[in-house]
Amino acid sequence: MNVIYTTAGNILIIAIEGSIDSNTAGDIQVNLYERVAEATNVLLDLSEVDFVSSAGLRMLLLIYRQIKSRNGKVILSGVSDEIKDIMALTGFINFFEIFQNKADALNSF
Amino acid sequence: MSFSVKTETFDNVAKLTLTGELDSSTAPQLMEEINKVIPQRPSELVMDFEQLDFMASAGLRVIIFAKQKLGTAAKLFMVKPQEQVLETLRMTGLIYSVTIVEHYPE
Amino acid sequence: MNTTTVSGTFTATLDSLGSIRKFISDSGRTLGLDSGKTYKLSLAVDEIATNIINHGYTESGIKNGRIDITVSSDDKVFSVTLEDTAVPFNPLESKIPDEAALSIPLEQRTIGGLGIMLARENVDEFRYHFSKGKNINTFCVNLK
Repeated sequence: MNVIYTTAGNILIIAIEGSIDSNTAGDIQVNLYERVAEATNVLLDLSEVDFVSSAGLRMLLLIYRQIKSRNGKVILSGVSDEIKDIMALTGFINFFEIFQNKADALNSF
Repeated sequence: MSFSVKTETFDNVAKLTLTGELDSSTAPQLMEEINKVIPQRPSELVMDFEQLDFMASAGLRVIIFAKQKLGTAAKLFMVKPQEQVLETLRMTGLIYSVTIVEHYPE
Repeated sequence: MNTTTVSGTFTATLDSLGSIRKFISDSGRTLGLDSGKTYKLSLAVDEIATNIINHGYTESGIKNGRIDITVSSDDKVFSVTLEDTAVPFNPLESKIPDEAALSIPLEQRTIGGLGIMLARENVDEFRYHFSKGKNINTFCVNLK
């Protein structure tokens, strides 16, 4: 699983590629949360993510809490139908705005 | 929660008219109707939302399921979703996967 | 009645999760399970496998634990069974968050229970029993 971090103004763009499970989330989390701690807003681009388990939901939750506590926005882009489904099942879908692609998402901040 | 769904099929179209509130207790009814029409392989699935007052995430799951089952060849229409439902479709990005219309047929 | 069975054994470490999911999705594809159901089944298996690795074997203090997986399909039902020799754990005894709990704003949500919920809610039938020192978790998906 690969992660690319880009800063665009006061938005931290986190683009993830691969599967987010307990293994891969564990590998990247220290670095990811350090960067989120410095960020005002986050755009999480999941267009190259093919799988998310509850470990991924936990990651979403922690990013959300960090950014919301500083009154920032967390926006998602490129979420597959399968991942939307588990977000709907677990009630997570009510808390995020989801765009089809990164460009539209960036314009919404 | 009151909910009902009326199903009509004609030509290669399946039309479901929803009334009331779609949440986790009523979503199974909608799912049942979807499972009845999908095997007929409609080229268009029309969901009339004009009388649908509320849709919770359970309803979204049924739409996602219908979309997957219909496949890329078929189109999913939504007729006159109310403001709150339209907002949910927009927020979740599902608005891109469906065609929102004022009437069907157009 | 035509039954096909495939088995695999995996080291109980987190880096096996990808291989486990691949095993499930390859079997699903070969044995005619639709892609939506295959995805959900992989998720369910991943969640239980993760629990076995993170809690089961860790709490037993067992190193080099394994997870044995059997996939079986007849014309009606596609089943996956996970067997492990870690501490007894019954996912059916876990409390699944109810509607109210799932509506709590993310600021106040507890993350616990979601994994087991995703495992149980994404298959048509989930069963557990403990037999001869093994936890046996069974996932069943209807083919039609």
